[in-house]
Order: sequence, then structure tokens, then C-alpha cells
Amino acid sequence: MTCEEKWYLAIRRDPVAMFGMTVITVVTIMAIFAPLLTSYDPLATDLSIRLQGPSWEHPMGTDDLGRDLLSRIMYGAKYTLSIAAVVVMVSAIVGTALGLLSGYIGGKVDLALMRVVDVMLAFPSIILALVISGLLGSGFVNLLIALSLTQWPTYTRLVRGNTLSLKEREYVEAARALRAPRRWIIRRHILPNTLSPLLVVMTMDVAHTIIFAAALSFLGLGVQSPTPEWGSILRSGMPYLTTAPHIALFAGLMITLTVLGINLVGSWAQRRYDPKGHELAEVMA
Amino acid sequence: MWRYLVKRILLLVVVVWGITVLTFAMMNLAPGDPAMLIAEARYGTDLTSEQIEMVRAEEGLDSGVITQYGIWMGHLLQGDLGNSLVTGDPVWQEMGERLPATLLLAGFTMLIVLAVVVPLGLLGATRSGRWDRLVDILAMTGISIPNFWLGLMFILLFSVTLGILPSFGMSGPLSIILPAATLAVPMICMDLRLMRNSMREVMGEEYIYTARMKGLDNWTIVRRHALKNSLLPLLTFAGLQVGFLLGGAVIVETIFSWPGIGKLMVDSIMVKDFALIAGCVLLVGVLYALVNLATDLLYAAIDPRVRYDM
Repeated sequence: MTCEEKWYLAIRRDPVAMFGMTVITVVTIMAIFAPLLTSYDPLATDLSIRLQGPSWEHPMGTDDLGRDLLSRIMYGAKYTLSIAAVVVMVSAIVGTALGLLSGYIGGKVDLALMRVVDVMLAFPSIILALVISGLLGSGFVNLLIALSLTQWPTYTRLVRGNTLSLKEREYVEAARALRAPRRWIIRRHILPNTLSPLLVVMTMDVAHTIIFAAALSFLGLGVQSPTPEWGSILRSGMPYLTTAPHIALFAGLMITLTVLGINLVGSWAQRRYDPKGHELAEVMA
Repeated sequence: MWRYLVKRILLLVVVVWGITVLTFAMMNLAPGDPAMLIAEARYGTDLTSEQIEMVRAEEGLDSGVITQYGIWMGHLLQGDLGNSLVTGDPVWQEMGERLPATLLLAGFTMLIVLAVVVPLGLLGATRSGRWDRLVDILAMTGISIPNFWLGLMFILLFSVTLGILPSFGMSGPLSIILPAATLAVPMICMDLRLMRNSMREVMGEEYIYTARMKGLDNWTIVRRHALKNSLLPLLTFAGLQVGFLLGGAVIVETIFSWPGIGKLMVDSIMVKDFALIAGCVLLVGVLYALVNLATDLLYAAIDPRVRYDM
């Protein structure tokens, strides 16, 4: 890939992907610099200004306790992005390791691991995440555990499939003939060639982890109020849907925009790096 | 074909057994003493230690994990899922009361999806360029809108602002529209793309070329030759669609208070009704596994090109 155009130059030619990239950049800036971008404390309540609609002082209005909604959304970006980052990293690393093991060693290890994956994938993953986080109890760390536990099988299946076909390539056979150690072959030949589809799936997975995390918080199982996570902001706006719809409107709009941005970049990356890759829908299930 | 059938059914048995192990394992995830949690659900928070010990003995919680799984599995094989810890009714009965609502919702949603996707897919079959771009962006938007937010926005628009559709429960034929639409929108967006891809693949086949050589017009080619063959790849995703419906139902039913399995599951999670949670998880897992098997078999039965040597 060394002689190819750098991705950040190539993406400029695709306005739709560029829009996605811009959204991601803005949300990331919000996540890092929220304290500099707003002078409001996201936890400071002021009941005299509760449930106000958008105004110059409060561009997104205020919530049921008179907190500034825009500042809550800005601070919330940090939670949303860090949940997605941690969950995707953990499940991608674990899933990839198991997939390499399963695909390269084969035999009984492969058979056993694949049955475990089959069982995990026998559920829509939101349902597993829901049950696990419900049983573990609410909270930030439990949410991370619940989501990571449900996401790894996708990676294992993807990496295993790739490993199986890469294993038969001539250059791997050559390396084997030269008595290269197994670990070296995996590190040098298998893993680098699995990276492109892996990164594409990881991008899409970030989007779908954001939705899952928000869904669980929305149901009251993930991050709890007063933490300004987007799903829990949306939940807190639900009782006021008739009187102060702006809370639910803005919180949900932010989730949708962020997820859309990531998906647009992901689909661009797929066209570019993994054109024969999986159908979008398969990644989403 | 028979060999394939037997193999797939054996695999199903293994997966279903795995589902029971996973379900049981998850029930043991809850922190704290399960006997106490069950006792709390049964007798309230004012507990004596005798009550807790009584529950522990009754539920077999004083033995090892493997033994507990054995006992649980033994009951399960006799068709006994236990009783709800909250209401005391058999889990089967609770689920049986809720299942029709979910099936109704899922069926109605599928109807909406097909009614929109098939005509649009046909219209778009011979187009490319701008239509392609539109379908891609629609698919992206569809999978990016969280269904819990979409549902709320539908309520806001159609129930609160316009006041034309009910947003709550299952009262009259109108009340199914909003939950079904919430489930259908992302599926429509996704399926349009699936249908476009499979149509494009089929339109590149040689028999389409032959039909064109015979002088048939585009519309006849699409209707007579392409349609059936392009529906076939869609079948592969039928399992996926059901997964989407089941997963979506959990959230959509909760928002709209639709009395189905999804809402039952969320409610039982909230009150930690282990027996009921286990029942719902098992039901969803087995249902999903069965649908996937049925899809594969149907696929093999319809398309003679499918090989059975897997």
C-alpha cells in the first residue's frame, strides 16, 4: 500500500465520505475540548430555568433540572466515544486472536471455538448485550463488559475465514517449507493481509457500538443519569416529550449524526480497501 | 440432500444445547446471592435468613454449578421452564400470552417492508448512476438512525403534534402502525440496497443477455427473468431480517408498550426475574436458530446450483 495515495488525500474526492469525516472530527473535538468550548457546567442544576427551549444563552435549551443541554451533549461525546473505542478495541483484539488461532491451528480447537461462535451468533447481539448488562447491573464498566462480551464473535469469524484462505497461498506455503515458526508466519503474513477487512469492520462496529450503548442507557441499563451520556440524556427527555421535545430531539440527532458520519466513512473505506468484502447488513446484525 | 439435512439438524441440536449452556451461564452472572435475589422477588425486601435458606434448598442452589445446570436442564427437557419469580405463573404461559403480539408486529412489519421494497427494487433494476447513489445513502441513513429515537420522533410527530395515531399499547388496529413503521424504516433502507445488489448481479447473467438478444424489452426481462432469480440472494438475508426484527422488537415494544416478548424480556430484566429472562432468551435463541436452518434448507431446495457438501 506504500505507493498508493494517502487515505486523507483520497477521501477529499468523495464529498459524502468527507461529510462523514467532518462529523467525526467535530464530535472528537467536542469530546476532548468540551470544557473549553462551553462555560456551563453539565451537572449544574438551576430549577428556575428548567425545560426551556433553544435560546441564545442555551442554544439547545435546558433539561428538566435546568442544565444547559448543549454543554451536556458536548461532555457526553467523551463518554460515547470512549465506550465505543474501548469496546471495539477489546473485542477486535480478543476476536482476532481467537480467529487466528482457530483458522491457523484448525482441528479440535477450531471446531470447539466455532461452535461457541455459532451459539453467540445465534442471538441478535443487542439481546445478548441487553441481558448481560441487565444481569451485571447498570454502570459504565458493566456496560463495557456487556458490549465487549457480545461483539468479539464477529471478528473471530471474519479473521478465521481470512486465515483459512491465506494459509493456502504460495508465499505462506513457502515460508512453511523454509521452516518459519508458526508465530512468525501469523505475524508476518496472515495478520497484515487480514488488516484491511478488519479495519473496515471495526469502523462499522464503532457506529453500531454507539447505538447499542445508547440503547442500553436509554433503557436505563447502561450509564446512569446524571452522567451526560447521550442515551441517558435521551431517556431523561422522554417524560417531557410533549412539553419539552427539544431534549429528546437534540440528543437523538447527535447520536444519529455521529453514527451516520462513521458509517459513511466506513462504507467509503470498504469500497476502497475491501471491495469484495461483506455485505453491509452482515456487519450490522 | 438427505445427508445435508441430517448434518444441518445435528448442528442445530449442538447449537441449541449451546444456547442452553449460554443462557444458564448468563443467569449466573448476576452479582450477589441468587437465593437472596429470588427470595426478595418472592417475599419482598424484609427477609429472614430462614426464608433465604428455604429458597436456596427449594431451588437447588446449595449444590454445585454443574449439578444446578443438570437439574435445570432436566426440568427443561420435560418442558418445564419454571415459574415467574414475580407473578408465580408458569414461564411458558407468560411467554405464550405475549408471543402472538410479537408475531403480529413482525408479520405486519415484513408486509410493509415487502410492499415498499419489491416495487422500488423493480423500478430501480434498470437504472444506475443517481439511483445507485440514492440507494447507498438511504441504506446508510437507515442503519444509522437508532430505532429508539425514530420511535420517539414518530410519537412526537404523529401522536403529539398531529394527534392521528395512538402511541401506546395495543388498542385497535391503528396502534400497530407506529411500532411497525419504526421497525420497517431501517429495514426498507437496507433491503433496497440488498435488492439493488442482487438485481445488478442477475442483470449481468448470460440468460438476461440472451433475453435481450431475443428482443424483449427491459420490463419483460425484469419481470420474467430477473425478478425470481434476484429474490434468491435476498433469501440468504432472511435470517438476518428476523434477527433485526427480534432485536428491534425488544426496543420498539418497550417504547410503544406493545405487549410482546421483547417488552416482556426488558420488564423481566428490570425486576431480575431470572426464570422469565432465561425463558425469553431461550425462546429467542431457538427461534432464531430455527429460522436460519429453515432459510438454508429452503435455499438449497429452491436453487439447484447450491452444493450440499459443507
